Amino acid sequence: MVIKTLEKILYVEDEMDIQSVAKIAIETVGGFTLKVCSSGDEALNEAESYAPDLFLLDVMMPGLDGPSTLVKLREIASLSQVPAIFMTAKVQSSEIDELLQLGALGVIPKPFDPMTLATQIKKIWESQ
Amino acid sequence: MSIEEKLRELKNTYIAHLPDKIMEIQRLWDGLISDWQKDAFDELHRLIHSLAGSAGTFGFSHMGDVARSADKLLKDYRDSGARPGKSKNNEFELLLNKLSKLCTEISLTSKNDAISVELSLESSQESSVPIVGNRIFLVEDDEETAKELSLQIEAFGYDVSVFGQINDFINAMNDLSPAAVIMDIVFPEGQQAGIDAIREIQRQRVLHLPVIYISSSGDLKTRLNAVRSGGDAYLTKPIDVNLIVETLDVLTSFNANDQYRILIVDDDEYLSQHFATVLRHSGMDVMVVNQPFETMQALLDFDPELILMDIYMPECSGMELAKVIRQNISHINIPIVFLSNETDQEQQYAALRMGGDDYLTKPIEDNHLISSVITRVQRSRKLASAITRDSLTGLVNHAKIREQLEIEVLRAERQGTVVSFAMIDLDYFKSVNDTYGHVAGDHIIREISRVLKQKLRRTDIVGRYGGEEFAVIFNDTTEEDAAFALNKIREEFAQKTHFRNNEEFRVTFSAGVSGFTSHKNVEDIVKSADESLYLAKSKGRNCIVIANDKS
Repeated sequence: MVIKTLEKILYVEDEMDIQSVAKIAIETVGGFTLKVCSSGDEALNEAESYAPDLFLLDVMMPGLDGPSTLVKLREIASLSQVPAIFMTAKVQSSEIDELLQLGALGVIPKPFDPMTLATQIKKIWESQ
Repeated sequence: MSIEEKLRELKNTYIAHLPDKIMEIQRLWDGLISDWQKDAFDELHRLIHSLAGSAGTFGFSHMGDVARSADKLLKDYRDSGARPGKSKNNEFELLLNKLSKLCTEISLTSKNDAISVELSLESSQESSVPIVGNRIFLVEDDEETAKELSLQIEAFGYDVSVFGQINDFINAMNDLSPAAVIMDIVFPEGQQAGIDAIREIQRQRVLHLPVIYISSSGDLKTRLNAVRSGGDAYLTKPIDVNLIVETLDVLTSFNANDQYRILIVDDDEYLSQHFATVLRHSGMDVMVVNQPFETMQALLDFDPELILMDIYMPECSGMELAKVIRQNISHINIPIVFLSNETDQEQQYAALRMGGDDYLTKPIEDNHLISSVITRVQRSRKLASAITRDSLTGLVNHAKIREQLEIEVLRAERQGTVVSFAMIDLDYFKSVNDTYGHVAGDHIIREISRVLKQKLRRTDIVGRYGGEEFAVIFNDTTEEDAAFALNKIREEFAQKTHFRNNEEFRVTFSAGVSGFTSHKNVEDIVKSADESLYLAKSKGRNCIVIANDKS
C-alpha cells in the first residue's frame, strides 16, 4: 500500500495553552497544515469540508471526548478511512490498548515535547 | 519571532494562568469536601488531568508528575466510589498543597530570574522545576566587609556576587536580575551614591527589586531617602547575620520551605473554606476547624503559628476559647486574630482583653486578610528567632538547642532511630582573643559557625552553646558517624590560616560526641558529651572523643 504524504491534520484539543504550543510544534516546526478544533462537536462540523489526512485527538475533553469524537467522525462516509492518533496523559497500558482498539494508528503521551511532536506524528504515520 | 521566542511567550502565558487554575482546583476540592457533587468531581478530575498533560510540555515536569499522581488518585476515588472526608493528612490534600507550592515557586521564579525560565526544549521530559532564585548582589566598597558578609550569607544557601563599584553592579544588572540586592550607602561617588543607584534602577523596572541597605549611620533622613528609593530594609553595621539572612529569606521567599501554618476556627464552613483558599493561594498551610471543641487537638497536631478565630460560635465563644488556649503556657505566644461582624468597639476591646491580638471585621477583603496574617506571622517568627538565635552567628542558642535535643531524643525513641550530640570547643581561644583582639575572636567564631553549617547536613542542628562552645545534634546518626563527619571538619579547619594585622595564625577545636546508643536521656547525653570533650582537651586538644558505653 502506497502511503499518501501527510499534509493536512485536523487537531481536536480543548485546552488553549496546549493548542497554541501544538500549533507551533506541528505547523512551524513540522511544516504540516493544521486545523485546530476546540471540541468534538466543532470537529464534527468542520471535518468534512477540511478533508484532513489525519486526525489528532485529545482523549479527555468536556462534552464529546476523543474516542467518541473519533467514532462519530468515522460515521461520515468520506472520513471513514482517515487515520487517527490520540494524545493523552493516561499512563496505564490497558487504557492505551483500548485507544488502539478503536482503530487509532498510535498514541502520543502527554506531556509532549514541542520540538519533537511533529517527528513523533511522522513516525506513527509512516508505520502504517 | 523565532520558534523559541514564540514558545517562551506561550510559556509565560501558561505561567500567568497557572495560579487561577490551581485556585479553581482548590475551590472545587473544598466544595467537594463539604458537598460531594458528581459534576464538580468530574470538573476537578478534568482540570487535574489536563494539568498532568500540559505542565511537562512547558518544562514543569515535576508539577506534571504531581498532577499525574493526583489524577490517579481521583480515578481511584471514582472507581471505588470513595468520598474522602476532611483531614489534614488526606492524600489528595497533600498533593494539592504540593501543587500550589510549585505554582508559587514557578510564578516567583518567572519574576525573579528571567534567565532560568528559558525553555529547556531538548530536555523538557526530565527538566525539573527551576530553583527559586537565590542569587544575591552585594554592593560594598569595603573589601573586608564584603568578603565576610558574602561568606556568611552563602552559608545559608545563597549565591552571592560581590561588587566593589557601583558601575560594575549597574552593568551586571543589565545581564541578570538577582533575587535581591544588598547595597552599601556611602561610596566614593557620594554620601548617598548607593541610594541614588537603586532609585534609578527601580525607576526603570517594572517589577520591584528587593533591596536591603547596609550602612554605618542610621539617621532618619538617610533612612527616609532609602525608603523612598525603593528599599525594603535598612540594617546598620555591624551587620547581624541572623537579621540579614532572615530579611533575605522574607524578601526572596528563598529558604521558605517553612510555610506559614494558619489555623482557622469558624463554625461557618463556607466562609472558613473561603478564607482557607485565599490564604493557601498565597502559599500558606491552612487547617480549618469547624467545631470549636476540636481546636485543642488541632493545636497539638498542626502546631499553628497563627489562629484566625470567629468570635460567635455555638457551644463556646471565640473569647472563651482564646482564654482556654492562653492557659496553656506553650500556646502563649500564638497570635490570635478574631473575626467577627461585630463593629461595637466595646466588644472588640473585650475580645482583645481575653487574649486576642487583633480584630478583623467581616466582610474582609482578601488582600487585607492576607497582609494581616503575613505581618503577624512574620513578626512572631522574628520574635521567636530573636529569642532562640545568637546574633553573632545566627545559630540557635543554648536554651533552644537543649530544647531541640529533647525533642529529637523523644522522636528517636518513638521511631526506633538514633541521635547523636556533639559538644565542640575552640582550643586556646582565650589566647586568640588576648593576642589578636576581640574582633579577630568574633571573626573566628563566625568562621567556625559558617564551616559547621556549611559542611554538615541541613538536617543537623548547629547551635552556639556559649562563648567559644558549640553543639550539634545529628539526627539519625550514630556516634561513630557523627565523630567521623566532625573529624573531617576538624582536619580541614585546623589547616585554615587566619589573618590579623598581617599576622598569620591557626585555630583548632576539640569535640566530645555522645548519643542515644549509649545514653537514654537528655541529661546523660549532654553530660557524657561534655565529659568526652573534657577528655579530648586533656588528651592534648585538636581531637574528637566518643563517649564510651559505660560512662
